[in-house]
Amino acid sequence: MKAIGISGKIALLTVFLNISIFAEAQSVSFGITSLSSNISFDFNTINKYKSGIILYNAFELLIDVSGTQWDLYVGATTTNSGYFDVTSSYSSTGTTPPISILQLQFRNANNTSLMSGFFPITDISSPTYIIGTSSAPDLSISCPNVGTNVAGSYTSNPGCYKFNVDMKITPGFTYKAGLYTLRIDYILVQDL
Amino acid sequence: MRKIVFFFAVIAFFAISQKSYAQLSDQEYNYVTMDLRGILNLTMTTNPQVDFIFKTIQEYRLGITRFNATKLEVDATLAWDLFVYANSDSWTQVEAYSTNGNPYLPAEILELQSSVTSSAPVNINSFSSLLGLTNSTVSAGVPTASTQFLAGEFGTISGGGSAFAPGTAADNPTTHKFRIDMRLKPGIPATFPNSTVLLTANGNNESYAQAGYYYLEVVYSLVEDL
Repeated sequence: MKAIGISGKIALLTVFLNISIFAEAQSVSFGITSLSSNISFDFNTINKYKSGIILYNAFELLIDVSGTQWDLYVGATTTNSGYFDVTSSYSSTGTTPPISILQLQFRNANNTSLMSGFFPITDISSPTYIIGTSSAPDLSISCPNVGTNVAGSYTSNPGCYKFNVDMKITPGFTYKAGLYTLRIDYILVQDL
Repeated sequence: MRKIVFFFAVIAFFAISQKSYAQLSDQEYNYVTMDLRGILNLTMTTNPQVDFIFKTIQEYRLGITRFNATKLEVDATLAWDLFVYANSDSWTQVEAYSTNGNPYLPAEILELQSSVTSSAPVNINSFSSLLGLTNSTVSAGVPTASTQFLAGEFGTISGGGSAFAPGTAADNPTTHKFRIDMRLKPGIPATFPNSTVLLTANGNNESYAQAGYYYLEVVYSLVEDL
């Protein structure tokens, strides 16, 4: 081993640095924490059908990212893409409701969400980006600006890294009475 | 020595390669349940009791017409039908003011007219005798094609029938709000000539009504498209 020359030392240094960098990349952490996962909309009066139901703070996203930029997007997963899953039907008339009648709103203290106000949910195959875009890398945006995508944590900076999710459904009178379900996917991903 | 260097170079290569392709991500799920209940609301916005008091010759001869005697409003989240029938075949006599005349007054002496046009074959689009319980063919609250429909008709939409669409009365006043006119025309003597059932139908040969106090129960029934 004493015979290791300059080139060998360079190679060893390269390996060390690469392993170090790799180890740092592995330490990048992501975290989404929810307070509850089952949300129920119960339309049992005419007024609720007409005016809709809004569930404020139905869900809470706690984001913890270190070492990299990130994207956050959301979409719905159902068996029949674009439509609610039918658990049971109470009537023979009407149509199956589309997922777009479910609207979401992402709020935090600094309003960093790219989607302001309520927006209809889309299928997960064409998700809605709350932070970032489908292309990468995005421009680096620091807290408290809209679209904040730099590393950070809800523990130290909840104004940019904690999202309260509101949900709204206004069915109207077009859809078939029944029990419906869908799954909302919140995906936090490294901006690569 | 070169082998050692090559060995570390290979490790470095793989380290770089792995770092390039490992995109970290995390995801969380919400399970959303939406329960769309079937709701049918029928509201009578007028006094449920409609009085006809015949105390003059003119009222006997010309009859009494109560326009907008009953107002109904429908709020529904399902396709729906609305039908009407009398809860008995004849009026119930509470008190007789005379000893002569026929106390049997068929339900059909009452004439009804709806403000909303129905496509049902049996309807009350214009003044028509209200069908008594037997003639309405309503059994245990279930109508047939011979029942008088104010909206929709017997048979589902998919089965070739018709129904009114879901909605509220406030948003659909022309189809979800009903104004029912009522008419009684006894004539002199009080034979009720417009009735489709004669007073003698019950076996009493007296052709005119006995003076007295009578009542009849009219049933409006809102149902999911049948």
